[in-house]
Amino acid sequence: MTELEFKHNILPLNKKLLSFANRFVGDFDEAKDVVQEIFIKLWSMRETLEKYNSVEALAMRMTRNLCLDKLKLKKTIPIGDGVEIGKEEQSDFGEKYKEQEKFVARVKTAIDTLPEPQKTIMQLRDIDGYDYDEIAQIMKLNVNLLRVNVSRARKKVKAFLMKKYYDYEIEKNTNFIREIL
Amino acid sequence: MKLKKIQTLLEKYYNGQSSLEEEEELKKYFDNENIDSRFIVDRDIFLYKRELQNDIAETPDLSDQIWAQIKNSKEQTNKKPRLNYLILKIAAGIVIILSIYFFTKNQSIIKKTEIQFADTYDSPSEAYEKTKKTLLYVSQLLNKGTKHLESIQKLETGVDKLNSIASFNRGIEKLEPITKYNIADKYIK
Repeated sequence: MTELEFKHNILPLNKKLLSFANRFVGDFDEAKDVVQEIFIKLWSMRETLEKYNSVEALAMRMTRNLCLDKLKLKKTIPIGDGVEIGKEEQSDFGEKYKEQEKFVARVKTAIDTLPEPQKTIMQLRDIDGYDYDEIAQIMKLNVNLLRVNVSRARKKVKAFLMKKYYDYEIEKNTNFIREIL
Repeated sequence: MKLKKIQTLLEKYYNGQSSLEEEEELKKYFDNENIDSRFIVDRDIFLYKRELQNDIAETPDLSDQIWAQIKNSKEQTNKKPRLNYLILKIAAGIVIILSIYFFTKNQSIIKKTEIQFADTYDSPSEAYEKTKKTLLYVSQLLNKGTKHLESIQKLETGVDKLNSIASFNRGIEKLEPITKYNIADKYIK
């Protein structure tokens, strides 16, 4: 692979990798370091890149592995979601976009409760928008297993939301109705 | 009718059977203001999807920065490894040569010492004379050491003088009849 090909085909992947790593590590600067490392690796193996049928999937897999390593080293949970819960409870629901933010934060916490392969698989599908074949290459799992995992993850997220937020609100409403009666 | 379609699409979605296009369709539906109340929870999930996809679009493009880093590392890697490998090769060669040299040298030393033990003198009588001389010399040195031990004899004479203490013992034996006095004392009581 020549310099020009690398610049045109591989370098633009950095945006996707960066947002993926950022979601994974929960720290933008660390995610930047990860992506930087990945590209240096990719550059050093540029002669063999043509052998892979999807360099993007390879890069994603490398990024995920490196992120897992980093998390193992730190052994701490990214603080992102904890802060967001605090924000969510503080914000008043007057403005509409704030309310939407609240909903998004809820789903984030729900997804963070998922066990590891499921979480990444669901995000790769729903956020990064990969098809199952690509995810299969990234995660080294077969497509049927992926579908099962995605299905379970989505159902779990919905169940989590229902239990934690909506049941509670329904209960509140029924209590309210009871008071009126 | 549309709601029914959404319902079936959602079912497919939760079973992991929906295609990317169908998921896009769902996302579009949930971008609307008016959403049927039974889909509220699903709406949250699709809001999240939209939000995070926006995040991807908003993440900065680091292409230039990364390329600069790659160039940097390129220059480093061009110089370093070759030099290192060369040095390593030379060092390994030197180590091998030195080890062979010392090994053979040590072996020849062992052989030489064996020869020395075997042939220092030609005639046995000459060798006998020489060993006698050296043994005498060694015994002289030993005698020098014993001279210092002579002073221990003085300690012996001191001990002899202490023999008179034995006569003190005899005196005590003669005092034994006093015990009879003791018995008499008992009878009196």
